[in-house]
Amino acid sequence: MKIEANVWQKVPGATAVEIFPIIPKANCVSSNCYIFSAPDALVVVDPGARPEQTRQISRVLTDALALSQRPILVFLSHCHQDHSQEAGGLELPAGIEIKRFAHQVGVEAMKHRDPNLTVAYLYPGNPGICTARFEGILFPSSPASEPRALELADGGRIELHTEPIAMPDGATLQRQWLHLGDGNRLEIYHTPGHSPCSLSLRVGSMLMLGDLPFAANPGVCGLDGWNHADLLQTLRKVDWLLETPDITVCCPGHGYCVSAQSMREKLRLMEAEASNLTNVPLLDAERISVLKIYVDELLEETAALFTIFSGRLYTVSYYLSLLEEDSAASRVLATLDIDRIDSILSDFRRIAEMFNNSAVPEWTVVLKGVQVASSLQQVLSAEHVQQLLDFSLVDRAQRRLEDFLSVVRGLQFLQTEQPGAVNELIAQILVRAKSAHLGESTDFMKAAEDEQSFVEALTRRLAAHSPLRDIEFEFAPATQEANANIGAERLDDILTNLIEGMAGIGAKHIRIVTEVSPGHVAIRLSSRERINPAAFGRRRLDLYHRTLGWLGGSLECSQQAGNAELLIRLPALQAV
Amino acid sequence: MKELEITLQRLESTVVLHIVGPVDNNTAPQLQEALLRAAEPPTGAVELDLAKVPYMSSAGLRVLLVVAKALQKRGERLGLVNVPLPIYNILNLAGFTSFIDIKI
Repeated sequence: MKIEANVWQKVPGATAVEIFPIIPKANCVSSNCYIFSAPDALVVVDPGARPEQTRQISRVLTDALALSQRPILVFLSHCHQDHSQEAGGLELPAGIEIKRFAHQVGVEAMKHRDPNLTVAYLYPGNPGICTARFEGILFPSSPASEPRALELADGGRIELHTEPIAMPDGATLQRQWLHLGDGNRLEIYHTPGHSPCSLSLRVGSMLMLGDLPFAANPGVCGLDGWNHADLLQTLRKVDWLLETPDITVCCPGHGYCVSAQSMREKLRLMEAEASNLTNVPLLDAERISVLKIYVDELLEETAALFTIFSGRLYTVSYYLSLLEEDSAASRVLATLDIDRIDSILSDFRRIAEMFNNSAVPEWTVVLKGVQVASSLQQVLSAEHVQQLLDFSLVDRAQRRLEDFLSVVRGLQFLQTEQPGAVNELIAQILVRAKSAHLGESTDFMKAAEDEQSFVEALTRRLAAHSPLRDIEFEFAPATQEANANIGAERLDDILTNLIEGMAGIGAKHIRIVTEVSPGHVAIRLSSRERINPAAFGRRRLDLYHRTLGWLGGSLECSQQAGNAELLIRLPALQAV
Repeated sequence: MKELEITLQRLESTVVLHIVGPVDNNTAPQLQEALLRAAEPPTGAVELDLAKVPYMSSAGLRVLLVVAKALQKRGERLGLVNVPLPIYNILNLAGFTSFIDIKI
């Protein structure tokens, strides 16, 4: 069953209950809101954090009240700012009673203006934490055996029942519920992990999961209150709930509702991902600020690498056109969805600029960075791209995106690589720089007899143009073994980028020297021609310095005899 | 939407376009239109002054390609002057220096 936004529709599996979902474009500033109209109450799940959304909720409730006066029950799926901030902001006709409900931990956090558990620290300008009174304390630490009753001014009462569910595997799913009239219930399950106060709510066969479906996402896992063990337990419990035919539709805190089956598949994938997320560091304000700078650097790096990719495609197409091979030129340009990538990166740049004007929170930039990195990964993994373009460029871009996603998740990706023998690695880079072109020649000669093969070989030959082909290298390796405690793949990426960058700004003779000193291996890059490190882009150099820094290394630029020298320092591999 | 500031300067045998602002997918169409108009005969050479362009995305590179092709058909080449180093680096690595005259 499709659940549509901004209209009243029947709740599947319930009698005489309707839902009015408010589903804004998914964002981290304000959540979805679900309004239920039941015989005995109007229920609001997650008012959100945007005043215009609050005004819409107030209008919808006022219209529903005109048909039948009922109390309003406001529930929070958890106390995060984007779900809770406007819980006290509803404007209703006089005499309408509102009761608010949230998990005890969330109620305490809001009461004590806790910027961490409410994640108010993620938003600029210190937004006010919800100050409304919460009468309904859900899942209190000392639960009552009898139903807890909330008295209403008109003499009515709302009874809150506590009835845990014993699961077949011996675990317990904490549950509370209340009557909505005509035999309908609102069931509330304690589903911690994203936050200790996270709840899932069920009406009929609809389950509202709050932010559980995003809890393992980079930029979300590690938020204050996030708990790995709780999350894994919750995922198992929700999987069990979704196994029953009683739930058919699942509604997240952001984005559209999906079938229970789709949600179950998503949560299972997420469980596999989440199982690796042990020891995720706290995603606090300080770490978010660091990640924001990392996002800026990543933007600069991926924009540069991508513009070089697309520029090479344009160059190939230009020469194919000159040779009157227009259809081959068009095929080359169709290799990569250049416009899509350009649009993704331009949007990203605008968000980053908006941040610099303080219009959006740092966290938004980090999450946008995650989204962009994931989208670009998809585009770059297309097989035909890898067939035509310089593999090394594609792989380098892919690894920077992977690194970023891993770091946002708090994973220590760099420890997974084998340490590198630096001299051998540099020798390989130099061989690669010269060999890419030579390998194509044989291919080219073989294809000469068949027209189509010839055009294809010609295209590959043009695409394989290496900027390092005409560079004269001088390599002076250290006489001792230079084994560095660093992943060879990433050192290769950084060195290749720096060498290509030097070539890009006019270096024709590049000298590479390695030196070994106690505890360190140094690599010096210089050129006979004058080079200006500013040409690399400051942020790109910062990114390489950051990556090396994670391994105890560094990148420095210094002036030697009026010319720039790039100095990479690496920690030496200690003999065992 | 941001716009580019484009100033046109006609010299004896060359038209120079001075650009202020980033060239990305938003602004590239504006640049393409101005450049193609400037490249119409009887104009001789066309030069683009990039001194005040903070960055250029692939959309900008495509514009350069389109204009270079249009000029090439009548035996002219596109020239870029005052190219900021990071942009020069990318154009060079992408192979554009082989069909466009580029001065830092």
